[in-house]
Amino acid sequence: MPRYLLTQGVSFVVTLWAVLTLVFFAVRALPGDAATIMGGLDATEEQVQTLRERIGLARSVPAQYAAYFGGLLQADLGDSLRERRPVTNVLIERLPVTLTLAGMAFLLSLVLGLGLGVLAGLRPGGPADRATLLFTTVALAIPEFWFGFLLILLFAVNLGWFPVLGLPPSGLTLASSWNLILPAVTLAIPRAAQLARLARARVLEERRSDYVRTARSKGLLPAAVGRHIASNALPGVLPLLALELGGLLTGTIVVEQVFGLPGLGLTILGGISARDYPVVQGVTILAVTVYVLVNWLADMLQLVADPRLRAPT
Amino acid sequence: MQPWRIIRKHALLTLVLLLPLTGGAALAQTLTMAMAAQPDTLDPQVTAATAAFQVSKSIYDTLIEVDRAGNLVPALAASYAVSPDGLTYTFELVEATFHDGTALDAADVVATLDRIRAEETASPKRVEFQGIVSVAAQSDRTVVVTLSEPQPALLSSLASGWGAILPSEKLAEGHDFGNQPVGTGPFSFVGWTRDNAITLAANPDYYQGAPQVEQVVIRFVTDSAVQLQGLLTGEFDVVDTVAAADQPVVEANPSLTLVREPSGLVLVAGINTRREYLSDARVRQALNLGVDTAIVMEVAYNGGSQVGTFMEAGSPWYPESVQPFAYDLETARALLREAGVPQGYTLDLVLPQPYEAHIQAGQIVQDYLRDLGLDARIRIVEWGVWLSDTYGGPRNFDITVVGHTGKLDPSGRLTGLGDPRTNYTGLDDPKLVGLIATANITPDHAARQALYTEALERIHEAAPFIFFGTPDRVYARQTNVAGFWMTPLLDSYDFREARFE
Amino acid sequence: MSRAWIGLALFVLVAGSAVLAMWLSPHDPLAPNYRNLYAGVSGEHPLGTDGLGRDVLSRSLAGGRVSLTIALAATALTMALGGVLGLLAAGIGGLTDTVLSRFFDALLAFPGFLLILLVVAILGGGSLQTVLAMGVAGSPIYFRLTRAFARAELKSEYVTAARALGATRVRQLWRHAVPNFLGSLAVQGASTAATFLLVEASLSYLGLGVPLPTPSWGNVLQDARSYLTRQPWAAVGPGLFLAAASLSFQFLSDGLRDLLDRRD
Repeated sequence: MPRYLLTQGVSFVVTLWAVLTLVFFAVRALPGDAATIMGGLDATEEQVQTLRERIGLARSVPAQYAAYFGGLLQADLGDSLRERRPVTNVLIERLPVTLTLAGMAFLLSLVLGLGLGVLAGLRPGGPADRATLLFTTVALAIPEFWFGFLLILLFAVNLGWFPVLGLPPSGLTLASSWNLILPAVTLAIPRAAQLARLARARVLEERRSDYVRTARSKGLLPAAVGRHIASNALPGVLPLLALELGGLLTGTIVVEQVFGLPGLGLTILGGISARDYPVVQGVTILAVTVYVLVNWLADMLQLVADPRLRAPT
Repeated sequence: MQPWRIIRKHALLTLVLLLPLTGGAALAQTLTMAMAAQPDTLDPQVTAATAAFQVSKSIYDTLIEVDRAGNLVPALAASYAVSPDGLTYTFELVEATFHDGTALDAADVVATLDRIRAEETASPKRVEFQGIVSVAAQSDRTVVVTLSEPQPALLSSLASGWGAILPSEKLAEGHDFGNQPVGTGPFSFVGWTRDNAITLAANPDYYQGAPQVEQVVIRFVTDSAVQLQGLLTGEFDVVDTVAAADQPVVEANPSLTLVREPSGLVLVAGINTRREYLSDARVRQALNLGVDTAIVMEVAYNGGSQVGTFMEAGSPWYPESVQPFAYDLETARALLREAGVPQGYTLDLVLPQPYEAHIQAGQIVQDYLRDLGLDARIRIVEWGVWLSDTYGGPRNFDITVVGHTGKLDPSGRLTGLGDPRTNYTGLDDPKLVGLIATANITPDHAARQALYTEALERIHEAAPFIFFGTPDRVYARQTNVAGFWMTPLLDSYDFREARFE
Repeated sequence: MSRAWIGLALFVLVAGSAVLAMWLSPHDPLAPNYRNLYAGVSGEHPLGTDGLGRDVLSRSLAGGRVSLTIALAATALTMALGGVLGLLAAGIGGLTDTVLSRFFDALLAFPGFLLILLVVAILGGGSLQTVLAMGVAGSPIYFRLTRAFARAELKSEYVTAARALGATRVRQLWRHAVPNFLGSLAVQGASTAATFLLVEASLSYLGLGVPLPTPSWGNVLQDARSYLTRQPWAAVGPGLFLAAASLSFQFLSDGLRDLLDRRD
């Protein structure tokens, strides 16, 4: 086990370093920098240069690279060029919003997706299967930004059940999670549809397997067989779940934009357009970390859930 | 703790938790405004962003300010005097208090102006204060500003958002005004969650009298469709953007009011005068004649007035002698032939993202240029790319559409034009540079006006832009909101007299 | 069976209308009419006009050509990129395999949308850039899929038998392994194409998609949203086209999978 953890740890650090290096140079390859953008239409070239020196952009790119990764070793993510405060503070402010949104959306898609998928798979061709088919095809054919907008029109404007914006000005509180329902639904629906399709396919596969036939022939109750099928089919869904959860952290960009949610998605969007390099890099670190963690967790769960995989390699 | 106290404490807690749920009713004295853009910082000395000044107007005060009619009137300076040679300005301060409790005195003004003039502050507006030789506190309430040469624009600079007065004690501490602004303004800063909201609380000690609403909440909503939905549900009291298509909806709704008034913008298509053919003034005039700018203003910018030179319509500085170019396809074609522009000549038409109106306008320009036998190829670039590659840097463009924000004094708009190093059109006209430079330091108003008039006529002839016009600023509010207004030219939000009726 | 046919029929219909857009369109999709903005539904403009007075139906038809081309080209690119490199990794093995696998692991950990945003921001908006960005972002899945398949097939009995008969490694891969999983790739590919259609639309929403005035379903749909209150029909056109195309890909994917399952 310790050896396993060590390899995983090393692999994580290498992945993080590679992705971060790529992002580091990619954002600097964007034309224009934070100083040009802050200077706007009126600043002279000299003023922009002064600003550049003040925010540390006048140094050479290798020097910036060394300084940044040196800082990282001391857990310093640098200062936001635009907000002029530590990136850590920016992330601490933004992460809870996205995490709450992603968490709600994940749970919702889990319940909805697995539920529908299993129901549909157990009785192919039945009413539940047809309903699931309708749901998944429609859900996968509407772009998120339209779906969110339609939800606002229906539930916020016409019915008045929810506010238009995803968060009150006071920010994230227990009560404000009510506001997050529409964004979470918007985010969850297409993911639930994907999950439902996969779950249905797995369940169908299991139905055909030998042990189910044996169980049936032995006259086991259909409900018991169903439970068996479901519990055997689910581990196969885990990799997709992990992929989706890992992707949710930045997959929220569009939904955050529609509902005006101050999460990581808008942060990175704003960071790119303002050329706020440290912020883009900071969000990248978070996204990669969450991605790797989630995948690792899924691997572990799969190992626990599916003994067949525990064979020595 | 006694039982009843616990109960009361918990009741309060429940109430606090439920507040966001119940929304409007409990907070009737909160005015909520939706704003499309967002400040980059609330430190008025390190930004050039209109959005920053639109918000900071409520937190800080300036020595001089702009009234509803667009006149400069005293603010933190109860009165001021200018010496006959135009070199010495003496300001007498009012009694006012900063949000941190310290009283305004002359030292604050000195420290503020010293900071914006300092190179290490790196203010994009520093150049406007470079003529200042010294700022001195003559007494507790009197400040004397000495200039190296007359600078009639100084009062305008002091009345703009970047002229905000900051407390000297906090300046000395190196306080983070960008995230924790402290001023003397009608509202004090409560909190800012970026991409979400800025919350401001009424300042009961405001020197002009406390504002009428208790709280102002500014929400950042980039999507105009969502702004409209929030206006319809009552979530927003004022929205700063109403899409052209949505205006009839707002106008038809009796509980909503659409406000339409002139803005301070000049919208243009900048022409790169260093490019082949475009260096010829006849070609640039042909472009002005061949594009129906009345259509551009109406269709892309939702209505406004056309201009024929680089000055906003309705400005007292706009010369009566200059008419907008009238659409004349035949003359335009003739001019192009005369200049030898080949048929089907391709032009690089660069449009900045995410400015939808400019992108609309660019498509209309492209359409009209096709009628002139010119093949304009649209290239849409992101704002950061536009600033570094089109407006500055290598200036890669033939034609580009942009809006130039309002300036209180013509020097702010015109300085730099005619000098190919400092203006993106690359127009090289030393005579024009000389006219503007002289006008900038001429104290006599009539003489100054005559110089600017001559300069603006020259700009009309040289036509380094396709002059579109000055758009109306169109915003909407709930009909029961009264007293909200936007500063002429600067477009800042003024909540001081805002109230619900 | 039936679903694959419905998918195919739907695809032929949508793709056909996009290919024949030039002849089907009642108007020039780029021609403005400043006197007829936001026109409602009429015989002349079955879906009305947009903010520049352009015919929305014509733009939706022409937009299909752009959107479908982008989605299909990006799918082809992403499959080719992931597929070829996956085959290489499995076929050569050793260090090549390790390096390629690490690379695609890192790419997968790279937030997909961030990747697209960065590519589009660096290279500028445009159809080609969009294809490139989506093509790269989608490739790790195909790399993994291909590599896993190829490795499994290389180990399987009939390949071992072929090796015993003296077939070269390349021929082994090509003749025996490849045809077996091309079917599975097609299943995945059709579903990727459906996703890319929606990604193109989302990019337009964020202002990073196909630049105007060129119509795509994404930018016509995004544009329509800004005048929904005035002219709701403008959204219906591109929305239905997009949904139909996405549906056809999904059905093709499902149908293909059913076919493959039956064959097994």
